[in-house]
Amino acid sequence: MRTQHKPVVLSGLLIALLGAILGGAAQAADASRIGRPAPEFSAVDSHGKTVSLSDYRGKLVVLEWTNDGCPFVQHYYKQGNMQALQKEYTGKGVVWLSVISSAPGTQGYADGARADRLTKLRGAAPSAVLLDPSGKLGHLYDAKTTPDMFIVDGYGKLIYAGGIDSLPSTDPADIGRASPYVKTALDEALAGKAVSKPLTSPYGCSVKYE
Amino acid sequence: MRPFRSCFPALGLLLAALTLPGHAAPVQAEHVEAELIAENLSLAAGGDNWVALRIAPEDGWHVYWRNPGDSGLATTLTWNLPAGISAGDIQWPYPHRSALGDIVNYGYSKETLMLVPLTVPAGWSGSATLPLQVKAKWLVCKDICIPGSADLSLTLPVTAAGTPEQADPRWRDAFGAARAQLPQPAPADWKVQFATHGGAGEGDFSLAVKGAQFSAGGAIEFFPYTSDLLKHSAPQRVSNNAERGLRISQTLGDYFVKAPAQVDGALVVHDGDTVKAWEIHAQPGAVEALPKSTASGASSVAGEPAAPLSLALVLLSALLGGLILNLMPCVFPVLSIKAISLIEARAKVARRQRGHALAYTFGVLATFGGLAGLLLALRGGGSAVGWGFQLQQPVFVAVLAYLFFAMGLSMSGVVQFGTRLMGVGQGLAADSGYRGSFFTGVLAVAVASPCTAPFMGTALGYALGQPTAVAMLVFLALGLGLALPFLLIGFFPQLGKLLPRPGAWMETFKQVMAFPLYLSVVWLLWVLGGITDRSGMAVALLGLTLLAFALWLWNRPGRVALLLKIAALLAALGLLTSPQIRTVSSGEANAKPGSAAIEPWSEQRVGELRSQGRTVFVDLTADWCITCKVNEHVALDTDTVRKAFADQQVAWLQGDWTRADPAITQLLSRYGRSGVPLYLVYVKGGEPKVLPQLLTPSIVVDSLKPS
Repeated sequence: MRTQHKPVVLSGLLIALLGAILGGAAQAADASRIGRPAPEFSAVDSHGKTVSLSDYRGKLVVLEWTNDGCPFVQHYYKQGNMQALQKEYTGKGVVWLSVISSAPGTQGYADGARADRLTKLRGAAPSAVLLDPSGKLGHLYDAKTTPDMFIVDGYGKLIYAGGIDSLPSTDPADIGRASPYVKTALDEALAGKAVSKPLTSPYGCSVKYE
Repeated sequence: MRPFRSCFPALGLLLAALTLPGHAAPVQAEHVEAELIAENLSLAAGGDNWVALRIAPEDGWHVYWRNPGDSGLATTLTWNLPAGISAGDIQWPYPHRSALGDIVNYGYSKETLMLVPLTVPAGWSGSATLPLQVKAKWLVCKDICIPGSADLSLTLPVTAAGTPEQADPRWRDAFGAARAQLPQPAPADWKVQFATHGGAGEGDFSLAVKGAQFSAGGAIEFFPYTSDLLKHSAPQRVSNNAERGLRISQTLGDYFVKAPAQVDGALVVHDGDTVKAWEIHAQPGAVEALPKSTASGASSVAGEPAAPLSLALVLLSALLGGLILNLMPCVFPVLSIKAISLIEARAKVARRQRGHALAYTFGVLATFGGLAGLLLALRGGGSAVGWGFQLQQPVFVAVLAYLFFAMGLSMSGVVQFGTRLMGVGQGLAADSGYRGSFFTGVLAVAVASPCTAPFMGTALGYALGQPTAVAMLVFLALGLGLALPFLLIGFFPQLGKLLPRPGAWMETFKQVMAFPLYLSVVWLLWVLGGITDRSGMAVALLGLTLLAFALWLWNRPGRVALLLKIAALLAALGLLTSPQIRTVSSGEANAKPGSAAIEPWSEQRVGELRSQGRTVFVDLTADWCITCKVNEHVALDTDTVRKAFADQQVAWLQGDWTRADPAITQLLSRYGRSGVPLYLVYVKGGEPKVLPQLLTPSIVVDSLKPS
């Protein structure tokens, strides 16, 4: 009896161990940033409130790098496309954080009051506008362009990084012809599916870091 | 063809020139001047015709190449041409690289001609003059970007084929200069191949050009046509020598998904003042990545590092490393039990020992080889796994804790495990003994894995960056080192005489050896708590309790006991899938408490401090990295170093890699590492010096002096 049972536990543990290695490796088999924990941050929003990524555990979080002077951003705001995305998905419980990483004196820089004015003026509907004049948050996510988009899932993992859509352009007429990467990713994530295109090329203006 | 034109081509030309200007005036847009121009004064029916967008950004502004780099947008042309006339694609002159901080772009900051071939069918019978219209759209940037567009037009007369073309004297030189900047088709005898190793943002793209001779010393740059292939801000490592040809490696882009079937791009070769560009189409092939240490900006490095010598050295260190693994707290208890079994067996069937030693060695090598093969295959398939990465996976850590705890309990005598797996007692003499020895080898590797990661992660990380065959050799050398003591005892039984006589002390010894295992469990739980949080740790402790319960029941007979132990085991395993353990908490990469002088590392903070001319000490560490902990105690946390840091106002930045952190992974890979520790010193804000993996106070203090 004893000798029959004995190796079973150890073998079981060994198998579990190999499984864990395989599982870990398979998880890592995806591109490097996707599926890994999104960097935790604390940033001040336009109302002076401190916002942390971990506050939103359990919810989908969109990070949108923005700069109102950037033609690529304007291209998405001019005819209300970005605002429509923000309204649609915040309505579905998604947290939408617009991030302004422009340094003081550079294009797109905003203090809290200006950021709020911009939101009002453009009829935007983000959950919050994060002010990142030092570029700390931008560098943490390695955001290079505006609009650069990231989606974090309820477990705090990065599930999307890349462009707002597939067609680099400053012409709103092109929006209808592009594959809407962020919209598709959000729809998939809300439906509990894996994001089919988790990593795409972002395009736009450079983020105006100091 | 109308008689009018065939009879009086000169008149036609004259009329065209009189009635319509050959070109519209250049359009002045914001920060850009744009104009549609033609090489010749007329268009040849059936001949080669070249027109161009002449685009001239203001000083300090630039427009973009077909692959704009990290940001920006390529210039586009949308033609509106008479029916029958067609325009080809823009022929892009080779671009220039411009960097603004981390953001790198490819484009043009001077007047540039975007050449376009225009086809007028032979025997053209349409109108005698052709209005060419194009909408040019561009993005012009300095620190800010302005999109612009212009409707440009040009009207040219058509001449029959064979009529000598008259070049427009205004643009002759410009077209000539632009042509010289066009990448030429690569000669047919060049063999151009590429390979990718690893994943986005960390792995490498490597290009090899064979059959070409490039003069040594001139800079060589590669610009791919797609923007997601390369990390534009990473340096291009170039090796150019007569024997091995040209090789270029660069870190893969953060948005790289998978290797394309073919990589197209421009290869720009500088030779003195002349520059030549080639258009290449690279096919997938076996191309080894250049080591990261070859990095030296975009300039080229002639020659190769002496590979054979360093390989021998690496293999020797791997062998020694494996040997040392035998003494690690996670391995020693298990192997000492194996040693006991050897002592026991010595009295019985000494001649079988050679077989057992081989079986054991085979077990070790097969497991190491298998794991390494798996890792290499995954990396080859484009993933970014590094040795040591396992310990960033909470489930893996929890399973190891279970395993160690179960073995500890068995050694303490709570339950008597495996005569076979553990090789205790008469197992060696039994027929199944060879298998037992094999599995002891497997087990040895399994329990050694949490030790290889912290102690040898860096060396193995180096190995993983090497070509597959070399990497596999390094892993096998490590395995051989681990197996060496028993291999030697098996083949030289006289060595076995050095082991103490068997006796009652062995039972005591075995029980004592349980305690290093329990300590390993404590360490693993601490690591687990660091990756997850105290809930994750509590769940693992609950699992251990269930495991203990099951093992305590192990030798008890009866159905109830059987059911209970199975239930407890299943529950223990089930707990591994609980969200508390599976969820990696992503706490901010914070510095360890205990010293107010340590700041969290960030690329940006390093930049700030360097720009102030401060000396910066960067320390990349992880909770599970024992080498890091040893260095902290032996070297960093000493009065000598603290005083030196205080005297010279050294800023100490610490990056914590306990959990996966892409920014730190990137920094590591920039220095050819795939694991911690990594110590960098920027003396007075200068270029970084890399310190050895094992620190002493004097190494640290000496490194602060300007070299």
